[in-house]
Amino acid sequence: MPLLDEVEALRKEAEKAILAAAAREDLESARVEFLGRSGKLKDLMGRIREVPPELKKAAGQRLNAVKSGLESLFADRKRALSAGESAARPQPDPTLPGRTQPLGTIHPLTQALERFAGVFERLGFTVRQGPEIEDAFHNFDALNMPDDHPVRDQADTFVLEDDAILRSQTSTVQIRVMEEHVKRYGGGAEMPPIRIVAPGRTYRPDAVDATHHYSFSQIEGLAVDRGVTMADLKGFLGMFARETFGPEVKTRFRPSFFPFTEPSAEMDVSCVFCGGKGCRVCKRQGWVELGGCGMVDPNVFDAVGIDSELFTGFAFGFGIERVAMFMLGVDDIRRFTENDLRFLRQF
Amino acid sequence: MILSYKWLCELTGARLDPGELADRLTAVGLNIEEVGDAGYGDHYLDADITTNRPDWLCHLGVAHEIAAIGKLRVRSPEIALRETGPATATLTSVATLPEAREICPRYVARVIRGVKVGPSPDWARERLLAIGQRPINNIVDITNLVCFEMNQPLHAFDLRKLAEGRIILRRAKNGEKFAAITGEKCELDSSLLVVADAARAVALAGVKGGENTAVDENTVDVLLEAAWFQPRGVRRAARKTRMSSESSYRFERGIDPGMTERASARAAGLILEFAGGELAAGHIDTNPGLAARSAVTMRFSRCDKLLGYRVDPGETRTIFAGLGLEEVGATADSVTVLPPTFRQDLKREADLIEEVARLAGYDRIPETVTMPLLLSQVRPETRADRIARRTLAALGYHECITDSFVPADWCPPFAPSAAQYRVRNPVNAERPVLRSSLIPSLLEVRRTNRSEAEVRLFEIGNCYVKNASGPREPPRLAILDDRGMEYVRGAIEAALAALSVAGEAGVRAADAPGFAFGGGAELTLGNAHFARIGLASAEQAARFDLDAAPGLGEVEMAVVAGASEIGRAYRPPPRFPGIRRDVSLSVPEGVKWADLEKTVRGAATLLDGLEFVSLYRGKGLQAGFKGLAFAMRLRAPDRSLADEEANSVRDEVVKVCLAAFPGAAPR
Repeated sequence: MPLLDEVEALRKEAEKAILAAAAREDLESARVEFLGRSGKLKDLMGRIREVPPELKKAAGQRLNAVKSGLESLFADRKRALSAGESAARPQPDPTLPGRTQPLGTIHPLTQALERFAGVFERLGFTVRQGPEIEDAFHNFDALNMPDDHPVRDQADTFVLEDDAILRSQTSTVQIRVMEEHVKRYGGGAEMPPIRIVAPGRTYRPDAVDATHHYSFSQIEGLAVDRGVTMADLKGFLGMFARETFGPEVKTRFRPSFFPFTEPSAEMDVSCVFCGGKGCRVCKRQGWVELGGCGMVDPNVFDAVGIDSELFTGFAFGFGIERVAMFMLGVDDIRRFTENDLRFLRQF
Repeated sequence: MILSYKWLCELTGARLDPGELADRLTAVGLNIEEVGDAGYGDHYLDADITTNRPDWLCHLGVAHEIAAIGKLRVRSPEIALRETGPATATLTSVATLPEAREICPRYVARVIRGVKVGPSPDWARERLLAIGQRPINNIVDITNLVCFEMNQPLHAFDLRKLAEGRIILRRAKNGEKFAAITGEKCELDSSLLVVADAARAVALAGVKGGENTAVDENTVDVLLEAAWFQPRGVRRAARKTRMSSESSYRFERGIDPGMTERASARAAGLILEFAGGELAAGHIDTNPGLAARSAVTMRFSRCDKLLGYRVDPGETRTIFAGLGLEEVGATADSVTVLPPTFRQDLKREADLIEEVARLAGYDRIPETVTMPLLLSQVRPETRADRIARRTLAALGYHECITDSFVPADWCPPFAPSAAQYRVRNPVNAERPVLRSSLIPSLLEVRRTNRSEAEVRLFEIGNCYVKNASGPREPPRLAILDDRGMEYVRGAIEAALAALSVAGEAGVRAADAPGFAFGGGAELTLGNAHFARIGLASAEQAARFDLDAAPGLGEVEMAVVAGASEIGRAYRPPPRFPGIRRDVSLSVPEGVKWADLEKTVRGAATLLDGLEFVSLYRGKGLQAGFKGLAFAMRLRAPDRSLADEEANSVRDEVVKVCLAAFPGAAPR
């Protein structure tokens, strides 16, 4: 048989062996048999001497071509085999869920309070606290709510044993902070401005139902400076509303009455759910009441000793539960103090 | 307060539809909460009237506001009286005793004789029904109509039932009995004013008429009372006797002192019209001059400065004129006005500025921010709360907000030395005291979440403690952890670390019986108590229906906030490596880690850190013994430590420990 025929036969045999190898060991022995240092192809190459000189070159080329063809076939087969093998080995699965310590939660009312306080802090208001157990002076008299006046009817209070009361609004903190300020700087020309927000618990002896509780939270704000105007009040509260409820929200101020501010206003924001068109959440009004505000009444300045000719101020107060219920769609105020983890975990 | 749309239109000639009218009134502060069909071809407007505007408690008062908004004229009812009877003074008299002058500065009486009591004409009945009032008879209906028209409460006595037919205004006698026309009975005292006849009280002034002199179907002669009673006096009477009425509601808020006689005349005219009879000539008026008006000045510049935009003085004058404020003086920058007697709320410049703001419209006020920049501060207590809260939430704890009111026996086991505040008028009778510890409330929350396998909770809030020097409201952080008290302590330490609290917390035994094993432990910072931790006692677990006792802790946030040193100076890291040496000892059960730790710290030179490794009980240990293992980090500041040096420190520590704790042995 001429050499080239033998080469052709060997090629077919080797190809068959390489493709048939099912495991890495089979493939390796096929390589040794055909392509190894003393393999069958090497044998044939050694016999190139037998070829007549004029055909030697063609025979050499043919042998080299078969060799490189077999080598590349071998490499392909090797890759295929190892791919198959690694598929069976253990390997990372990045689609598995992550592992961590479970997070706790911050109470939704705290979150709402912090969110509101945070906006005002960025506007230069300092967070202040004040006592919850109060006296009549700070809860009523200094807030221009004289004894024996029906204005006190709306602010019925819890009474403690020694005639102390639980504050019925966080406005008491206004008085405390102004007193402290006046004590330090005097209430005249030397007095630096005041800008505070006071979040905290307040109490009124109301029966508990889905929208009322005898204990609730408010955030109070007070700004006192030379030349504070009602336009500033609208400006600040407008910024607050847009930052809190979104840039599209509209505000509305309606005349109202609070003993400690004059003029006084109720502030409404357009309903964030219907954009003011009227829906179930806003009871078809298109507006949701946020809270009360106004210009500090001169009697309040008199009560704490601030010169009301030199200084003007604005004040505001919002009920946190009401606003949080509106924003979160919570239907019952009692959910907030129930502390059911199935509720708390959602925030 | 229910208003009749038709009535308001009659008084003003307004042509707005009911919805528009409601919107316009709301825009000036008379908040209309609801508009509806009142029947009888009328609509009702349900108004929420603020206490500063008692003048809005009647249709005439609201009509004045509508007139001011719509630049209309109020059409006051015309009163033409035919006084055909004998002089009033011959029929009755009114004596105000000195003790009564303060509470009753003005009393107007008229007498109508020969009336026929019966139903009112249809229009009057319908008008009352439209505003939610029940028609009774013509005389009573008239007093109601005039009250809702002019805001002057009136009372009609049956003159023949009045002893000696005369009126005496005096203080009640202590213990004097009074039976009201509406059936209530009460006992009076000398702080209260009564309208009396020669023998007895016939009305509790401004609150209720008496049963003894009420008008009934047989009444023939009527004495009509119109008075101005002092708000505080009426309020006191209504509160003390727990009686209130449309009348007391109005007197408490302050009615128009200039309306007394006019309302009396209006009612007398209607009585003649509805019930016939003859009106006695003249009337009794104890103080016609009560309604003095005082002038108020407003500076235009002050108004602009407060509102933040300029209102033209001409516009201001138009607003004032529309409200019935009579201009009596002016300068370039000010106007002085006399408010009408029904506007008792207008006494100061600020009150007038509010009128300008209201009537010009709050929408006209621009939104500006002209106030200068001011740097806000984060106060230490605010920062401490925030950081502690975030740390605990990150560690898997859920923040709770619980009621400040608790049952009386809840807190003392956890705050044995704190005096609790009792509430005189609790809403929930089962919770009559203010909490002096937050822990019981967390145990209650644990019960609420009984179906949960393992729970971690916290709350940050105030407690309330009664003190000789006054109330104290210590702000506290409470923690509940089902995994046990070492986790509670770990959480507290994590919060301290997050707050950069300097120094390590010390431990000493506490004696709060709510905790198991002798009352828990107290943690100290420096020498200050700052926290209490422990395991709930079996009794506490049972009280809150818990199968297992959770770990508990309560932290004084004021101490923590004060010890926080965020921003303290840096310490360079050590230049030379340290060596770790582990020691494991078997010690008697009674030996506490804190004791061992103290001994080790005393004995180990070159100690740079001491870490608890493990507590072991069981195999390989004698009964009554436990294994404690710890790791020491040894380091010299000036050189790399040699193994031999470290070993000799370890050997010395072991030797000292064995000597300090009899029975202890290396493991």
